[in-house]
Amino acid sequence: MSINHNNNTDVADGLAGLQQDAALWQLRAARVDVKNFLQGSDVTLFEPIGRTEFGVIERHLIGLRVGVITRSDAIVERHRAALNALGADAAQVQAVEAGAHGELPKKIAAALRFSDKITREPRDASPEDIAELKASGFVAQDIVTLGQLISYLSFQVRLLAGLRALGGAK
Amino acid sequence: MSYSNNAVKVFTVDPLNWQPWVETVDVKALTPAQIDVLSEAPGGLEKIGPYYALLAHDPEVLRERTRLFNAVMYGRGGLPRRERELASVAGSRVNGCTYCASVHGRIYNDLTKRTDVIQRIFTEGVDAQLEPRERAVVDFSVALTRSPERVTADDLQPLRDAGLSEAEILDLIHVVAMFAWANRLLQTLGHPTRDEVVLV
Repeated sequence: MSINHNNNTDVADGLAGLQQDAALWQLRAARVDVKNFLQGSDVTLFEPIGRTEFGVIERHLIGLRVGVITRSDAIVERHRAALNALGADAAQVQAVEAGAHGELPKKIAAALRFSDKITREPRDASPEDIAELKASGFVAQDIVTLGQLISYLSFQVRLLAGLRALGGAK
Repeated sequence: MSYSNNAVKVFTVDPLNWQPWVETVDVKALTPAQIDVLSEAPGGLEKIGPYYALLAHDPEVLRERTRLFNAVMYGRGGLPRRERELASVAGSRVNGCTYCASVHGRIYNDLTKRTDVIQRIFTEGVDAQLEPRERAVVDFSVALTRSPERVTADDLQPLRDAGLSEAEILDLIHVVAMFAWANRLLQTLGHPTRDEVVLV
């Protein structure tokens, strides 16, 4: 099955606050493949199809946390809104924002510790981190998806920072 | 785990292998979605490497990511190919991804028919002496890799002074972002090695 990119509002444009008449919007639109496959990546990560025990709420909690530690307000807002719309536990959302991973269920806490580490410093990862994820309930398939999700968010943080600079931000 | 014994931590253009830390998919029992996405991978279905065999656990995400990578690195026009490779090496050098740096350092050397630029970046680091345009590309790649929250319009001025257009700067941003992604996958789901890979 293929993703219909046209039915979705472009996530990166939305986070960067780009409107269709803006020069930056047009600059991005000129790289149509980059734009479409980046959007496709977002859709497959946040609207997964088929079997997964790595749920959409957990994915948005990771997104929220990456937004917090990279100080990306637009990313924080996006995932706060999504978690609210999905009916996520407000106390859990607060704990994630505060970095109080110890107050969270074991599985999401392990995913957040992994995410914090590799978002900040990917060279610090080790096989022990994978063992911890497995011990907390992650199977191989979901570890791969988690790795893709965290790494995708690092892409998004840098794209937004670059676009902000291109837009003249001091 | 033999991780501490055989992980390659020194930057090199020698070809390296990559040892996954997580069990890969069974390449003899692929689903239709996995067959589709692996046939798009380098080497195709005949030569499935451990990296793709691992990422095939989530074929939908892998499909979009592979196509994004190709669009970012090989899209026509805009930033010259050799400078996309240089940016990818600079980002990988900062993050410590010896595997990515090895692959893309070799490609840079093939494209430019010189080896001194990559060698200096490997041995001296990203502050090694470079020609002005390369210097501007590397400096921006390092800044966006290390501290995206601190990047401002001022960081773009050296690129503009070196003659990069707005479209080329966007291409450069895409490459640095792509390697923030690629480095993390390679560094957090396995390690580079000179040994034979053992699939788990």
